[in-house]
Amino acid sequence: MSDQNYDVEQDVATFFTKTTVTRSACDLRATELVDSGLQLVPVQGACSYTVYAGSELGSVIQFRLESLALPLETMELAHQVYGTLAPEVALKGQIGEDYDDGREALVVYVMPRMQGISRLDFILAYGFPEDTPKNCDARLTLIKDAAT
Amino acid sequence: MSSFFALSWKSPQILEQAQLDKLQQEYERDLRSLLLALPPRFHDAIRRCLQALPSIMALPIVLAHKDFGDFNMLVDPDTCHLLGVIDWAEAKLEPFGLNLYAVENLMSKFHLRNGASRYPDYNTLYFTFWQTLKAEIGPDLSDAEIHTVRSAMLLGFLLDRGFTSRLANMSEPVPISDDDREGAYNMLVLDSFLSRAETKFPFLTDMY
Repeated sequence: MSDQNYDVEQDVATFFTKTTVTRSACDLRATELVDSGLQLVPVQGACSYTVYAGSELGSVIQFRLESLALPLETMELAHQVYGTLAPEVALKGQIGEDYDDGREALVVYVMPRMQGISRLDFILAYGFPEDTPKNCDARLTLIKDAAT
Repeated sequence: MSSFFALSWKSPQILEQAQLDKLQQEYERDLRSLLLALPPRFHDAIRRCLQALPSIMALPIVLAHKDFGDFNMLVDPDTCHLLGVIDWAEAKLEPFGLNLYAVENLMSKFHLRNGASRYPDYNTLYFTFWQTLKAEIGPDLSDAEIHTVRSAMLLGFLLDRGFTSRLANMSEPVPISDDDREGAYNMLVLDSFLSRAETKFPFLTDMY
């Protein structure tokens, strides 16, 4: 998301109120799982905490609330059907524990960082004016890829 | 180069008959509740889906991404080739076509108050999409089968926009109503693609 009003730290803070695990524990686990390097993914969700890590920040480490763990069978099937279009997700165990106050443990996943930028960012960066030959080509390219 | 919809057609999945029956019952129940809840201008589209339901259920069952939107598609910054798709957690097995309406977003843009408007090259994009899809999934598909695929697309569109959110951690979806902001927005989406002459799905009026 390229909204200038978006405050990623706010999302991160909200997320860590829902879990018994601290942010630094997550960051530590991330660097244990892959080599050096750590960078916050610029868009965060309310139900997960996600960082880039590893050499050249080529891996994505995601920590999700246990109640919203990824359906691994679906993720595997997606990779089978859609190949490199769908990331290959590996489960790397759990950290923390559930507390009576509703705070949850986290499930840890590692996946390769995917190439490219979101279509939203593409449009914001290059999408105007809309009717240039370059933008018409871009739309045609994407719609053919989507169909194929 | 990457690909998306035809690829899913080419990897059909298996659902047991009991699961297929359950899906069909859910679709039918949802369509009937839309018939009660939505204004008459949407009833033709709903009835078309009800009528097509048995043929829709006979389409290949595929793993369908349920949120193929601008946040979730990753493209090459130079060429706009599709490089990846994220957010697969909500993907599900269902008949081919239910999530196809997402491509409308690649040919139109959407304004919060004014609704959809088409890109200047809409006709080329629409034609290219269906030509490419047809060439990939079966050049010998009959017009009737294409009609069914489009009915499936219509069904997916109605189930998505006619109801409140279907996200996993939300409450049970119910038909939308005009009197809250989200409902009014969804109504605008329905109107744009089902009833407004300038932007409705072309296959609802034309034969092409």
